[in-house]
Amino acid sequence: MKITFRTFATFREVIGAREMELTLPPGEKIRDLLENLCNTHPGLREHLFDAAGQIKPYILILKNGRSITSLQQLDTVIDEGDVIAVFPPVAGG
Amino acid sequence: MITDEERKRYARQILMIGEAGQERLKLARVLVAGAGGLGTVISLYLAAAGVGHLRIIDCDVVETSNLNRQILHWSGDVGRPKTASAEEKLAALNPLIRIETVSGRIAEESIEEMAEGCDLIVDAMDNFPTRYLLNRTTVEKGIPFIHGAVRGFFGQATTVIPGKTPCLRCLFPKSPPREVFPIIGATCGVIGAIEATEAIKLLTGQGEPLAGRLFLWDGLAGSADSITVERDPSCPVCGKLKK
Ligand SMILES: [Zn+2]
Repeated sequence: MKITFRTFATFREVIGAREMELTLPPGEKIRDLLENLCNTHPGLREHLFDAAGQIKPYILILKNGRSITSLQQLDTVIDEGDVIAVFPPVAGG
Repeated sequence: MITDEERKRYARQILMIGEAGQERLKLARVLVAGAGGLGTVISLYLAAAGVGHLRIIDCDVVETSNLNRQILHWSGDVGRPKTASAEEKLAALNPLIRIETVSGRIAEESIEEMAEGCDLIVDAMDNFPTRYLLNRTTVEKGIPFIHGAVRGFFGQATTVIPGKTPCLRCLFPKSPPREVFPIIGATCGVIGAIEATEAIKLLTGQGEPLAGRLFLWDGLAGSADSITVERDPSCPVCGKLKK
């Protein structure tokens, strides 16, 4: 299945692209997608995960505009045509 | 009714929003929550545009390290309350509007009174706990909330219309860590101007607000994006509101 992966801010620098079309096996979860991307993009792991290997809680991962924290977190299943976006929100003012 | 003086001052924007739009701005009461990097930009543009009543809240005094970005505060203002410094400049810019300042901390006990009677709230805070408080208040009152935040060369903005769009809690369930954030003034300029634009659009009923869209600014790449965002039906703040 084909999906679109969009990156913003620091993730764009690490991934080296603002948008990627990916072909994934059916049933792939967000966790698998991120794990694979970490293996192919050095530096991504430090941006996504804390020292304990947990995803940094404030990092926004959106499946078609919905934060995966309100879905099944990293176990959220990716569907054909999904747009997955990863973004580090900022907080300054 | 707008006066001849106002007609002259706002001539170039009346070309777009009409005298009726100008009158809407004049009748509006807007809360700008913060007089720092974002708040000084937002309040400057809203004052210049003739928003009739600006309520500006801040609890800090001007520090030298603020001056790279907080454009209403100048070298001679170091040590003064930010509200006093902002009020003086805004009143000099536009004597036709009412500027109300509140030197105090936005907190659980004070927010209700601070938000009283406002048509909308514009976020110019530098931390998420206070933003969540503003967000909850606007959801309870059913008034629009314009969010903006910055760091370094990056910024984000969105407009929350309670019950229609995701609220700040739907979008950002967890607060980014507190830090002394790096920043250049120009990033505050970009996001502050976006927020002021959103406020003017909402007040005059023009255009498409950033409702249900998260605007993302990447100054290093020189690119702007927006992503469509959805409500979280189980959101603890706005989940109970009907669509
Ligand atoms: Zn919500």
